[in-house]
Amino acid sequence: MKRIVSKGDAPYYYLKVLLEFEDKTMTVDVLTFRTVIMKAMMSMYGEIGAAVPIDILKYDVETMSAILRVAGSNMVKLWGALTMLSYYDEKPCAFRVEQVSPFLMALAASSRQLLLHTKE
Amino acid sequence: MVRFKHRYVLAELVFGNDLLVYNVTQRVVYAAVRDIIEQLHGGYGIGLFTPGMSVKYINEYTRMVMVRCRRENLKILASAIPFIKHLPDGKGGQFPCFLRTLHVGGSIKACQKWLVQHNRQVLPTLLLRCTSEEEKSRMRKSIFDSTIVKEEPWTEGKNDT
Amino acid sequence: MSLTLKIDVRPPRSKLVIEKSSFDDDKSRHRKNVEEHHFNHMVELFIPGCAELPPSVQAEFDRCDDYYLIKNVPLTELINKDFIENFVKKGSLYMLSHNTHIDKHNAYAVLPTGQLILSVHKDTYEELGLVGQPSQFNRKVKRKFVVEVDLTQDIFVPGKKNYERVKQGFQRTKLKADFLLSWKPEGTRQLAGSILSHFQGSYECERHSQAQQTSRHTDLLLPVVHSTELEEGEDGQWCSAREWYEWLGAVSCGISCNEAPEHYISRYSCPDPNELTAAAVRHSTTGFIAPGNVCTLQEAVRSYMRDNKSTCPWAALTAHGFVDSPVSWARREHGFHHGGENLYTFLIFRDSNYWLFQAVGTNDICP
Repeated sequence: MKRIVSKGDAPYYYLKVLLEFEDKTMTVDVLTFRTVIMKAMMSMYGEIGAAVPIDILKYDVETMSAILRVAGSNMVKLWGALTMLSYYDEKPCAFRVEQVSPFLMALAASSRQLLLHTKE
Repeated sequence: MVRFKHRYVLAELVFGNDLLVYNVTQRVVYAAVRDIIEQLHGGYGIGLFTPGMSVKYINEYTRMVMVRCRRENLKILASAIPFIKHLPDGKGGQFPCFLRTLHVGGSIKACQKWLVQHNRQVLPTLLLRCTSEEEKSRMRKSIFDSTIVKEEPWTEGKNDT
Repeated sequence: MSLTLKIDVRPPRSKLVIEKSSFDDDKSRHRKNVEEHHFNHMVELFIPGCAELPPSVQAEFDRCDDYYLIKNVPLTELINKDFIENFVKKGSLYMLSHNTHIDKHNAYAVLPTGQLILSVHKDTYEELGLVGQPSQFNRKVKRKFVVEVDLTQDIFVPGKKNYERVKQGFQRTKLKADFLLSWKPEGTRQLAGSILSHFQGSYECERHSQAQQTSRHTDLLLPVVHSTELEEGEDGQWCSAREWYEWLGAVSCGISCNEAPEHYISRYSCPDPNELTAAAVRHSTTGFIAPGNVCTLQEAVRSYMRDNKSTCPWAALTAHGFVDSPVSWARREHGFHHGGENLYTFLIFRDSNYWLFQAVGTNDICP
């Protein structure tokens, strides 16, 4: 029987985010999405911030929602930069951060979205 | 006592052709440092850096620049200075240059002391580069004046300097 | 005081406990861990090497009990004498307030051990007038308080001081909430549905069954793990437990990690070393699942893995807790902070060994 307890800073943080444009008909592909994130980091944290490695693990074009992975030490920066972004390419937009967790497994379920359908 | 502690970075402006004297003012250097911080560290860097940042001293002839920043931001300043590649000249163009960091001090006085010592060491090097006899004699005289400490005649009631 | 702009860029703390043990070990806590994790929102099973879920396991999933949503129940109803006698004391009752965010609102829960846990704001706590503890998280600013009322105590009857005080407190504050309810009677004399008739007269009730979902994977890369080694192999023969756990999270989220996409997008791929499996099945059930069901599920998976006919290298059983529940394991306090995760995963091997991963967030006590 062996037990490993790892407390403290997690190596990676995972964010579930949604990009919303004021113009509802607009969608972006994954490369543009990555560029939007990069621009957000660039405006807030400069070139050094834009060079932070961020992985887009999953991207859905229709809803423009993604699961991002970032190193633990950069999580606060990324979240702040995404929050502060209000324009991309002169179009108003905003990032909605839905779930944040140091465990990717935790993003698979969210009890706050438990939708109860009435059963006959 | 609570106060803000600063660090003073002494840098030398190195131009391509160092015999010409460029019109470099404090404002020009301040703008260049601020622009490079914005480029490298973005809005966060500007917000972190601007309070407490100023150009304290600039000498066009010896091309020395002293930039002050808060103690916490020293690393950011020291790592951003090498990225300055050109400065605007007063006529709308830009001339290439770079800033070579020479010394970091905790106070202006400490930096000045170091600067005096540094200049004393640089003067003999300049003597070697003199071309005419008249320049050489002038150089020798300045070296002599700067390295020998004159003894003050003792007078009663004189304030300590 | 200080005018310097200094952002603390350290991320919030998190805790991950990885335990390696065997089912045959006497001191193994696999049952205790499942039974003490009272409120489960989603249970997921991942079996690589199988195209379909084994029938014995599917039967266990189908046997998961239904749960009820009772709306606008005042807390005075929970200290009703008949309620306590017939339901709290006779069987395992699980109740959790629905749609109450633990960081914003008051949250309530009834544990099968008979405790009523209230996680309330400071104002409500003062108005309630009951004895409780300030929340373990953020002790300096006492914003939230936790009150525990033991419903199964002998002295907790109408007429006694303690009971009357609690009742007056609830009547004064008029606390009410929607509750998710699951009740398993002990013995077979009572019907599980009788709790519904208790509430049906006065409150709006809904009955829900767990929502099941299956997804099948083909040609999936699996990380190679060694059942007795949690750390990475020296020559790279097997992956570390933490890497495996990240990979399983990726599979659960529906992320395909067979090959790494271009570097600009992502640099994540299946950890090395890995092997290819032709098929894998992932089955999940979502709702309000009682630990008893998770226990039987665990046993079914365990006996399937022990069976010589199965060809799967391992099976992973994950249970996600509610992010807004006031307790995580047993009576340990749970808070939301940035994620509110409290989940565990069993990695069950063929040789009766298992790994247990327990993941909790910042505002949680290490399990």
